Amino acid sequence: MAVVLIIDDEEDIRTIATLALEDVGGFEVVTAANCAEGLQAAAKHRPDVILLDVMMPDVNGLVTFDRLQNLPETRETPIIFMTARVQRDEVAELQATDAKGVIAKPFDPMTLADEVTELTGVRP
Amino acid sequence: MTDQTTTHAISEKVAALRARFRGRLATRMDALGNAIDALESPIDPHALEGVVDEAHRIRGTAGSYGLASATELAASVEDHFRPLLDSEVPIALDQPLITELRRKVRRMADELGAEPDPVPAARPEPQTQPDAESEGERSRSVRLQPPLLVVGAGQRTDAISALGERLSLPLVFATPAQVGTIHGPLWGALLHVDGAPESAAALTRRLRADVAPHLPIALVGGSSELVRDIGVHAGVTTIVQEPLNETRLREVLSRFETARRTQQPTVLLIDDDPEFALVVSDLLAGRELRLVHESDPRRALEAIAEERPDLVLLDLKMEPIDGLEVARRIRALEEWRTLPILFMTAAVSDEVRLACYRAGADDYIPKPVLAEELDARIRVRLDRQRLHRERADIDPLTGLANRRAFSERFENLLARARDTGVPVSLCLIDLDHFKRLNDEYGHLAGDQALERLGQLMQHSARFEDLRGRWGGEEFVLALWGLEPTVARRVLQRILSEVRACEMDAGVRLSFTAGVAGFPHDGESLEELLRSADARLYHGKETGRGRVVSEGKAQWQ
Repeated sequence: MAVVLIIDDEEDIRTIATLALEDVGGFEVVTAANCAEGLQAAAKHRPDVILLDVMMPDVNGLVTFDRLQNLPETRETPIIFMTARVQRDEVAELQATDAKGVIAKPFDPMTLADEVTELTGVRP
Repeated sequence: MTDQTTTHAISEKVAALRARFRGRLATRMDALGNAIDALESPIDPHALEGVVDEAHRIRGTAGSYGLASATELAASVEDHFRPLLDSEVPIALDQPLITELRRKVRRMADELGAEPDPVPAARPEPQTQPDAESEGERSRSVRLQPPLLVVGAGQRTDAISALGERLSLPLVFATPAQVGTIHGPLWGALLHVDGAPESAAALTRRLRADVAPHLPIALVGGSSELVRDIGVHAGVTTIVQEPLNETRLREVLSRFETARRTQQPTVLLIDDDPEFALVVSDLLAGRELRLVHESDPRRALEAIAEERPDLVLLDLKMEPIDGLEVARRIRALEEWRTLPILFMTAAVSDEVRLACYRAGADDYIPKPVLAEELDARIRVRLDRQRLHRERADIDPLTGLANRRAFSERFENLLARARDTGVPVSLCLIDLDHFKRLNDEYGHLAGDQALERLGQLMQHSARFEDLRGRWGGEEFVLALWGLEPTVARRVLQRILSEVRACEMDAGVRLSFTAGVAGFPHDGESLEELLRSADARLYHGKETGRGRVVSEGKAQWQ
């Protein structure tokens, strides 16, 4: 079963996204609340996709992205950003990375899993 | 897809989660109201940041639980206050607007706290869609990728657009005549052949020359052998059959990804301190490098063998063996004697520096490291390494890899082929009547012939294929992903080009070649060469000017 790692400091987002991906989508989900936890979880669980919040305290999503890319275990793992502000300048900044895409927050828990599959080609 | 019962169960679960979330959200809205209350002119940036952050979080979260109106309100709070945060000059608060926002936030907090969840837990229909009013506010997901150029789609444009939409793949359409006007980064290109493979080949060369030298390119409509030969000859990344469907397009995209990954130089960082590794990775982020980290210095040689880096960054102080020992172990291996090694350390005494150079270091960077300096020093070393390698690896007369460099690269190619099960063909090419050419027209004519064949080989086949001068008048070509029968046709095209070469004094050139395929004709360079050589010999015996890809494998 494909594993999705969610890195988001907001517990309520982790909860609803887990439900959306596990119960609705049929993925297996691992969650982390910050960059350091995310890197650990990524190395341990070798996820097939990573959902990464852009705005996190301390180490933000863009920096976390680079660290994930430099980790041998996740160098080739598709990463999708999640953000509540899909502004043009922000998208441009995210565009400069090798991420697979951006999912806007709030998201619809009934279709989140499909969006993940659509952006990365990874199926549950 | 989920059936009715599961959908029902999920709706119930969402409803239960939402009920609990509402309580928490009421408290947070309340706190947000208080935080807005506490703002006064001149604004305390910390207090303002608190408001913006919390509004941002609620915005992203509430709607995901179907509470769209809370998301909308939080968005208006965030959008109102964020510009103040980014402003360099103090801005006076717009008191009436703030009063209005605060009132709304308070009312929302009360509603969330008082009202029961409006969506009953046991409703038979799925009710987890967010309120309709939120639809305008929600934006669809966006794929971050430069577009794929589609040339000559003609009547297939609609079908391909639909396919692009389904894979969220940005596409740019162009006619062959418009190709010259394309600007900006491209992910790759799909060229429709439409019975004119020669013009597709010409387009390939033009795109590589004008847009990007390593642009991944796929030929669409490549079922015939002719198209495959011409495509490989022109150096396309892959060839795909019509009609283009989802599976085929995905296959193309994955080939493109592989082709792209081979472009950036690799820097291997050996450091037992994960914190510092993160610092270096931040420093080098976005600098056209592939950084790989190895935290166990004892594994340095394995990591080098696996990653085949272009440069090593080495921490001096490590456990259980230090950087000096690692450098000595690297330098003890013939293959890595010229690999650039840069030390990084906080210790800066003369003895330490000397010890680094004695252990085989090329450079020394004191900690703390500046991003620009690190980047610049790495760049200088990489450039010099590339020049050095070119000088050592390239046969000056033909411009192709020499025997040693070809062998090294071929071993890598074979390793990849073993891992992936992809076939590889090794071709051994020998100029015909070379001795007679030298005897009758002089060594200069011989050199000229070698040079011409080198040039022709340089410009045929794809950039991931390998070419080399094996020695004397013998050349080698390794074709990735091709069986010997297909490789033979590629070689026959090169042969016809060689025959068409205009040489001084009316000399005509030709060659004879033997082709052997991995894994059927051999599993190592040596075995494959023996098979190819036997076939080459057979070709010479039976009249020269031929490409032979069949006959008993010689290695068994």
